[in-house]
Amino acid sequence: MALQFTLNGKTVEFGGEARTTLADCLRHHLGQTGTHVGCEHGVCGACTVIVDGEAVRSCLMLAVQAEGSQVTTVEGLSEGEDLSPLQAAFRKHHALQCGFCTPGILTTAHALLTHEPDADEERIRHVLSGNICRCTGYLPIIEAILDARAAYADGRRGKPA
Amino acid sequence: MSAWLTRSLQDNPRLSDWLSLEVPGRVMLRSGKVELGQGIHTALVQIAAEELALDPDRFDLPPPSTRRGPDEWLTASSQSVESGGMAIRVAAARLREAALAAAARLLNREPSQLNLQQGEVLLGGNATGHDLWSLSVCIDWQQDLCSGAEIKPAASYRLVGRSLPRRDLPGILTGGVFLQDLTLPGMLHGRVLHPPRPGATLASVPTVAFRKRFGDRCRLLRRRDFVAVLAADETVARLAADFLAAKLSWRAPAIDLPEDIAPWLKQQPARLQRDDPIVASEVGSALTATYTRGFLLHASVATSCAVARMADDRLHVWCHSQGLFLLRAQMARVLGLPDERIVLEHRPSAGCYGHNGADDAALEAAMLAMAVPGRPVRVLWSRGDEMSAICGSAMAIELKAGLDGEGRMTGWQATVWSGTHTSRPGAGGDINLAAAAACDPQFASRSIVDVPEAVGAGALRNVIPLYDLPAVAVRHYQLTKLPLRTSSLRALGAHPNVFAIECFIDELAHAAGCDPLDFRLRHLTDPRAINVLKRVSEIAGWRPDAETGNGNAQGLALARYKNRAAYCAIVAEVELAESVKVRRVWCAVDAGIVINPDGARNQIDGGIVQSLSWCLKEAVRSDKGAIAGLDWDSYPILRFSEVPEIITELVAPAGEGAGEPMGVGEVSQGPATAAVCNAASRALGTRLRHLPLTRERILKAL
Repeated sequence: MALQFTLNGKTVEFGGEARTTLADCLRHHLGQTGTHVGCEHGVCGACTVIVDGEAVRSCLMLAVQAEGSQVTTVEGLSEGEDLSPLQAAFRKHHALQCGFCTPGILTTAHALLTHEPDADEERIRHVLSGNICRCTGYLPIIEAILDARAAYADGRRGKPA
Repeated sequence: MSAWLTRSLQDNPRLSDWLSLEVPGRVMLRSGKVELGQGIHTALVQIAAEELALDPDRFDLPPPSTRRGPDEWLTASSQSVESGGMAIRVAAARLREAALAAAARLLNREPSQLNLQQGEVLLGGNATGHDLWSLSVCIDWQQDLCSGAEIKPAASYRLVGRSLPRRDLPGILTGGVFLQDLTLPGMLHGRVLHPPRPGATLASVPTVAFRKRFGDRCRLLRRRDFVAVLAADETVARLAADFLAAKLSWRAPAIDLPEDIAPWLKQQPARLQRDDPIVASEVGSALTATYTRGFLLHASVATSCAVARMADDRLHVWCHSQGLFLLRAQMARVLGLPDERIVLEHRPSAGCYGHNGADDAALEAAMLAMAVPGRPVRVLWSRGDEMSAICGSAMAIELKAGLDGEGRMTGWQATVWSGTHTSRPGAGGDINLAAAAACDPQFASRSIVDVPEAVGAGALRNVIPLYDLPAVAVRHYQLTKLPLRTSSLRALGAHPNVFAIECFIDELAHAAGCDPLDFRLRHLTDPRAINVLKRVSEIAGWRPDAETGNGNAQGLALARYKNRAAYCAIVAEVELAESVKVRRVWCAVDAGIVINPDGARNQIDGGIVQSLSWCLKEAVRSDKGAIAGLDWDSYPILRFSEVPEIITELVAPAGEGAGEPMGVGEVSQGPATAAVCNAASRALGTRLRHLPLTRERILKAL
């Protein structure tokens, strides 16, 4: 089996075990370990990646289902070592403690603000309720996402902060 | 003992234990305290940078390792700043003194004429051509620090007290920096099939069916009750573990946890550990109430993990243990290797709130790595393993207190039933590593001990009220044969004890016909406790005349962590219909000198949110003889949509000991739960005494 998809703007190929999840494929076969696996059951949201613009649980999706898709992981949110406006807002607001859940929260928020740059606090809380943070930096995370909205509204979302 | 002569310093008294100058322009700082997401490494660098007057960016702080130490025992009990930070402060101050003394000799000046700025020795503000690195050869790196050093006065601080950004954030925000992300060439993936609960033994393993299904793609290893699979592909390892888990047959004692846990706890086998005499008249016309908390899970977002490699007769393990040296000593016993042939190196995992599966996973990875010498092996636990391995003990606390005619408390008696709050490697002389006992019954844990009172206590942490009382007596039943493995979970016994004490104080205030705030103030003389209590009631707009029983209310609580660390007072505002909704939380903390206010706030606020989750939702439940909560569906925790507004104020310290920093990682859990329970009880018009405050419990109380 060999399949192709676009990962963070580059074409990649995968030819492993048929039952490989997209999360395992990204982490072990494509070396993108920023996507974290917290529960393997789609409950915690740590493994969230963006597939064709939608936030999805990569632990519940098989790699074969990504054939031909555009996949974005946390590594693809910024260019090189510069932080994206969303990542920079997380840094500014100290919006994490351990940070293990952060990649899934960043990708979830990125997908949300890309579609709805004017999402209000209630909407943000609602969408993020699928992501678990145990440490728990919930409030600074919401502040950071609210702060990052402006960059999405004026189209700077993919650019370094 | 002098404030600066902390355990960290006593155990690691040499300058070279903490600091070295290996790369020109940079300072190597070493710590045995591990980064758990609490931002400790940023704070420790701030402390060293302050004393050396050097930019924090010029410090390197490698992950702790047993290769050279320092050995700081455990990263626990909110001691990292208090003990470890103080050692670093003394070491950095001594390095400054040593460098200036060396420069003074070379320049034929007095050290007092010189100062150190950004590593350069200055005389009257001018460069002297000497710097830390050129002077390094003149410094006695083996000098003993236990005689102390001239540390800078707090009034001169430029870096301590500022919210410098965490050093590790950029890496975390852009990719994989966790132990779980560590990938070594040729690495194999291991999964261990854990017994469903302590005491379980393996009846049979379907070896033939396994071989038929997985062939040579996955290896099956078994030693008595230890079963593991090993594969080159993690997907295969997971499928193989799932296949086996469904087919393995365990003989395991049934577990049956009732909703009402107090009578159950009181029936468990126990040892009377402490029994203070009390004069009956002192509790006089007594009020009595029993409070309970259930077993709590760590429920960390990552599952436990370790990577190990056995090469050239040396074992190297990357793990997320809180106590590398303690773990190494026990691993050496089990594996039959001398200490010096085992290196344990810390790598960050997800937030750690106490003794979780980190140590167990390290031994498991080591055992598998020794079966395939030369190949690195990564062990990762399943979510179900993580949610059933180790929990914080359930506790029942029976409180009794007397009131005199003026509404003053006359005496206080506490009886505590609890499992242990430490079964860390080496505790009580036992190995306390699950895989060791599974392989060989001689490695099974035998003694049940708790954290000694001298180092903060476990079940009895914060059992003594902070209030002025003529007599206090404690009785402690240490439960010795619980069907669940219990150990340290954030705040240990302080969470249930403070919950019980602060709810009972509200009951006593009610019995005395007194406002809960006034009642507390009437029994307090510690100015710092009074200060945080008054401050939080101001910012929360506490009203003594507030109506009760109408569905909305504020509740109040106060504690000083371990009765000797930071002070925390909390007001919670709840709305109560069929369930408890926390709308707002106000918090005032006096933690002495705060190194990094952002970091401290995150610990306090995160502690509040975690405590609300414990208070409103969490308890391990059983179903059909087994633990029921193996994922976040059956063991729900607080989510974004349920988090209240939190207003936290770091109160300027005043009075005795105000200049000493005090840890805040465990300061807010007890008061937060107690404040919410007091608020909910006032909103309901009847007392709630059992956690969690679920919808079912509220409906029952209604």
